[in-house]
Amino acid sequence: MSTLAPPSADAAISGGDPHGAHSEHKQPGFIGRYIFSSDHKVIGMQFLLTTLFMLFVGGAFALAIRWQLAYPWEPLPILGKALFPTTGGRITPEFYTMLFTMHGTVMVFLVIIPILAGAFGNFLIPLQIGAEDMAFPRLNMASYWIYWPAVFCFGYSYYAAGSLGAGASSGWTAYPLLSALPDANPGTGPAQTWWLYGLTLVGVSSMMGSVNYLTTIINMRAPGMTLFRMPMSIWGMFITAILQAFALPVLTAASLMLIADRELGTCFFIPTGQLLPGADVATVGGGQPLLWQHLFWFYSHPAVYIMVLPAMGMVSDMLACHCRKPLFGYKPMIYSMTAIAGLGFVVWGHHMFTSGMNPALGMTFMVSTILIALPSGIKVFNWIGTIWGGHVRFNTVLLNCAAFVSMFITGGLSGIFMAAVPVDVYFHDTYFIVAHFHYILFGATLFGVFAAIHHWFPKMTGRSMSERVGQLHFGITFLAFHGVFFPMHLLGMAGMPRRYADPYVHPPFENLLGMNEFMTWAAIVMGAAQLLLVANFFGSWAFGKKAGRNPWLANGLEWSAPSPPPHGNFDLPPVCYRGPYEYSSPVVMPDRDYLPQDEPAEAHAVQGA
Amino acid sequence: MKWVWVSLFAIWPVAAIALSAVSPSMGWWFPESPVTEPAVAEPGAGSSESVNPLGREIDHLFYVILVICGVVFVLTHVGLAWVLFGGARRTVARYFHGNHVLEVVWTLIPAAVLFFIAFYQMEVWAKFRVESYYPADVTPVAEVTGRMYEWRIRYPAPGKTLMDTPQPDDLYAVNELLIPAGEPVLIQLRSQDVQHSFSLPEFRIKQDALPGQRIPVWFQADQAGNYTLLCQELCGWGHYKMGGVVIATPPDEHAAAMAALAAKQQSDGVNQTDDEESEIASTTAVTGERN
Amino acid sequence: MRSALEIRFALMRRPIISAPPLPLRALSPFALAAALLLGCEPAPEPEFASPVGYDGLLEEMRTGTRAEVEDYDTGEMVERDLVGFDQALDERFGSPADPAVFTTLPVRFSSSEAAVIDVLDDEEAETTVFTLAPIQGAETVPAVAKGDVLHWNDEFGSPHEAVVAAVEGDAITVPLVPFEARPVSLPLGFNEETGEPLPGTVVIGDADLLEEGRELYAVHCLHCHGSTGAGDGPTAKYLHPLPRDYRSGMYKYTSTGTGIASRADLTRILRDGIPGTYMPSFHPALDAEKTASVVEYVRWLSMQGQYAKGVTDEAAFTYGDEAVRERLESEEGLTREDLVQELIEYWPDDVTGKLSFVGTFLAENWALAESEPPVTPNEPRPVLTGDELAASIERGKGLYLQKSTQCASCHGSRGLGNGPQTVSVQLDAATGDPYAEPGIHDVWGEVVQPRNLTRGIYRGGRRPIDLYRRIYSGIPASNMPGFGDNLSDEQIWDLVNFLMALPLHPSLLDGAELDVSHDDDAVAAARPALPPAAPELKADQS
Repeated sequence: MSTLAPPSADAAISGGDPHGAHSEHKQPGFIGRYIFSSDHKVIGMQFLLTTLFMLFVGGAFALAIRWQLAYPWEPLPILGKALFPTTGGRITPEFYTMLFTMHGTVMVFLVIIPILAGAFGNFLIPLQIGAEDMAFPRLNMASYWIYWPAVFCFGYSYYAAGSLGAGASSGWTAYPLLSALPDANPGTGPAQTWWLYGLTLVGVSSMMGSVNYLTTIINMRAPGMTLFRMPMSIWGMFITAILQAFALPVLTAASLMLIADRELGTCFFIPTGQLLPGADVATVGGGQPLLWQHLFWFYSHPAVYIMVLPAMGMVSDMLACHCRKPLFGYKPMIYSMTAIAGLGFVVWGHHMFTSGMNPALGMTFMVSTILIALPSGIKVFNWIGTIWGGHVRFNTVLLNCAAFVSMFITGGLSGIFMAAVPVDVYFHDTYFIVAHFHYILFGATLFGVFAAIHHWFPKMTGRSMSERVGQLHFGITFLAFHGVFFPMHLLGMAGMPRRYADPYVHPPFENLLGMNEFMTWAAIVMGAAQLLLVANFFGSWAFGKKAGRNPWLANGLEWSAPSPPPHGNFDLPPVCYRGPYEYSSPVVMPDRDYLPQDEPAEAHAVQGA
Repeated sequence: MKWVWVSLFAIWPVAAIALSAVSPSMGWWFPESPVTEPAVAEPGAGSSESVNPLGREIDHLFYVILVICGVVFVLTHVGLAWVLFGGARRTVARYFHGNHVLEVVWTLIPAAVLFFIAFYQMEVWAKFRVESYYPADVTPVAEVTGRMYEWRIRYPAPGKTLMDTPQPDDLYAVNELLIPAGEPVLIQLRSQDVQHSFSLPEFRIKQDALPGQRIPVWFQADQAGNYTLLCQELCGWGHYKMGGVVIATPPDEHAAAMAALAAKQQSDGVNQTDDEESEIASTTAVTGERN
Repeated sequence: MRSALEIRFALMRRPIISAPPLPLRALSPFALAAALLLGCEPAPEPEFASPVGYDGLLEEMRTGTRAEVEDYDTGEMVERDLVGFDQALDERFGSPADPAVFTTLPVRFSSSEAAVIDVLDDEEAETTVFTLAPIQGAETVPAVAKGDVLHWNDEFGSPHEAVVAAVEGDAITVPLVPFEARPVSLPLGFNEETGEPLPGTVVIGDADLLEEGRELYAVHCLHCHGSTGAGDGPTAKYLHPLPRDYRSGMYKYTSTGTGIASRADLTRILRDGIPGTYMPSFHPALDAEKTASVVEYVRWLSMQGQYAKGVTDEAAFTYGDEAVRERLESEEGLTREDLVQELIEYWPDDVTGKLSFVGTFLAENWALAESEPPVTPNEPRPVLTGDELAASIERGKGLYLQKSTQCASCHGSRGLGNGPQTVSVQLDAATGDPYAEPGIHDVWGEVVQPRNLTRGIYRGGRRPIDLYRRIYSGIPASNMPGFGDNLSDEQIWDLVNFLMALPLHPSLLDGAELDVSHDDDAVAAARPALPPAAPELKADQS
């Protein structure tokens, strides 16, 4: 144990009474400590628990969608009876559009983005760079508490039209005119406005976080923690924060413009002469619906990288640790990440190849989009290189990381088809697209998150998660995942469109019903398997084996803090002496295979890569 | 147990490839062109080859990418499984921070492949949308207007050209687009309300109907038959209902069909034989009337 | 410096995160399991709703009762179950998802139906032999096997069923069928040559065609038009105009000249949709065969609604809550028991008879919609071009603006659908009370906007014959009057030409004002709208 932390720290643990005589520092009460806490770890945990809860909400929407696709217009189990008593529990088409809108919204804005930046960003950034907290703790707290009004707005949009199940229903992309004309659709009345308020608030929450992360990473690194000694997680968060800081204002502007179109009668997105069924007058506007698509994707395409870059960083850290080996190509990894972020700003048009924008632009966006595969590929090769020659621990963390790599390859390769304009003309808005982004967002990011939960859980709670349950959860999720999402490629090949409540009314898709049924049952299995994660999470929190400071024998600064770290994180302000990936370093081999970043450099110490 | 996990990473790509390999025979591949009635031994009928010449070029591009990506998929997964396998046997990790040569190699080779893919695509896109956005030698056959939740179609009267604004003798139809087979046709695409997308899977054609704009779309049916017309941009609760049929017939039959449509359109219940009414009458005859 | 920091860190160190409370964790799986188990039981299929006033009927009338009545044959008093409306309606219609066979109605219930051309009783063997023939429009008698169940209705509409005991060619042997329970044709008809009654119909098995229609209806129609065809599906509340409520049996765009739609009308609407509304075209998702079964199901829903409403209105005349209250108040010493006794005495007339009468009446109306030729002009539309056409359009414009046709009073002097009637308060034809909000109301009591004639959107179809029919017979369901009696064919064609030209040249009505100066003598005041079907029914009876 003595090698784990400086001797002074041990002394500090045993000595000192936390409730002792200290007049100046006021102890916060329960509310101050757990609810309105400005401690980055508490906020991180708040984000983690909230987003995990939202993951289940979004998953429930997904299962309802899958049910309808496998058993179209058959009574919806569990909720159908309460929601649709007059139809014998059958859902309605507008409820289906609401389902996929909310599934997308919840998963993108309330799960993936906040679980990476909000939960892990908050928890890891100060710990990994050796800071005692975020640069702006109160801003940090505000970023969490503004998340809830957003949840409220999204949630209230279900009730806004006066009845349950009338939520926003113009898709998570909210293309006008559907989203701009309040009378266009059941869910585009007040529900859509509330949805837009929610979108704006989520953006505010992310923006607060990103300003904070940038400041913290730039200003508050421990002595010796140079930029090129930062763990990849931090690099991922850093680049993500930059992306958010630059792209988010555009989304906020767009969403305010759309709110203005709806509430104030401006016509940014509404052209002249469009006539809704049953409407008495046609629109007068002179606006341009394509403008929304440009603005929306100018944020939402970088957002795709916001949704994967931090996971990439964390996976790099975890792979190195659990392969007991330095990260392969640390700097190329950083450069490729930066390249992804940079190129990420100039590829948004690939969502719009069939939209009617200038066809010549299509070519430009095709080249930039295909080029973004290059840094992504470099990262994949480097991860494989990291595993190569390692002493691999086959635990839950590594398995989830390896799944991340495998899924990222698959999702990345299917992306090439969409980047190629002519081929995308066929695949646009088919299930091929759905397969692609689920491989990236669920397959890659969420498996990365599962890995991260298992990896940093000891640091968060002081206890270890059950390896047995964790591996079982991984195995079932991994198999069921492919059962759900791989066949989607083939559905897309057959041309099955997205967002169809009942594709089978069209004869060409009749033979796809069987496959969809299989996928639905795989999805149900996958959903059920997540209960294992919850059980493992809370069970281990309460009863898990006590983990010491450094259960994985890892190098990062966070592992030299107590588990769970106290307010202020470190016993002593840490000093960084080397890079984070000095595993199996000849300097300390064969005594031990790790060399923490804050272990003072001795005469034989090798400077980090 | 670790061998189970290693094999899991080796087995799933194999299963995925196997599934993809059998999928064309299971109907999980490009939609099959309809076999015309009565069955004509035309090349391509009943196969999943596109009926549209441009669609076949798109298919070719797809297969090129499929081969490249398939090879990369296999190689990377073999690599992943191999390093995992190696890692499972090792007891001591090797210590190195990377390899500069390797980094350069796996940057340059993919870059070359990716540039190849990008530039290889350009010609077809240019042909479809840049050089001939609105081909001068193709006369528009109809104006197709998307509305919630159907396609409204306006043809010019036989022998006339399509005008931008409705004409007294225009012909109207819903969800049924008649085109001559074997020659390129062009439609003017509009939206009456929100955004729709004019999608012909068998032609590999898709174009959003953008509110406030009129967008030309051209395609060609090499073979007579009935083809699916879909909407593929979310247009509201009835999005999935929005379907239609493109009926391609040989030019002479097409002309006859248009003439019949014109007659039907002008029906006054006395002079012009009302095709629709007799059609409905034949439907009810099947249903039977008892009283 | 360092020691101060050390102290500060040591003081601040406290465990930040602890486990959630145990009871919560322990309970959550059970709560989840309970929710799953409770929720997995599927929702019950909806039933037909009772029409307005039904619940006010005398209870015995609805639920039926048991009483001593005189036997029809022997004249003795015997205790019998008297079938009330609840059971009668249930027997005749079943539920939306499980339709019953009710051959009184001109509905195609099943793909295997046959006409009964001869009925022979064998008293000794206690059997009856039906001789079957193909129904009209069919060529063969469907296959019948021993053990099949036959369904039919008697003269009074009461349902009967029998299990086939033997089959010999077209002769089907079933257990003895009493005379009054024999299948008869309804409406009752006789062969003009032989004087023989026309054959009745039996259905072999269930109402499979309707069930097929129901399945398609559940996929394509139910979410707007509702499970029972009341136009109250969950999507309906977002739609404008509202989806059709079939239960009144009224339709807007018909070729029959009345509110009742023929099969051809409904088929055309399913195929073409109704432009300007949310009713889309179902071509090609529903082919001819599927369309036919949906149409049949929709007609059946209409008839169910009309039947239940008709029976209720008929009965409410004497035994509705208002009628009962009035009689109890006005007649000295009369008690509710007396009324029930009276009801039992006249049960065959007041209950059974009404069930039969309403069914026959309905069947006749719907059959007429099929058998009568659609509204057709006597004179063809003149083929006009150039100046002739312009003159015709000008004449049409004159007719449109004329005070006597009153077109502009609803559709507006510019054809924008904003005539003065749209802002004036109208009287409800059924009650005579003014509506709460100004504007023209349809028979469903909803405000209806007269068509904006400059848009070129024709809900009932855009062929000249469609416009002719709208003008000739009006739209009874939305109180648009018909002009067939007052305008000549030539004048109607002028109007049609004008209406077809108007969307292309909206300037035709520039500066137009209602013409009050000269009334054309040929045009008398417009014929008022046809009264809705239900009041007509009542008038007929009283």
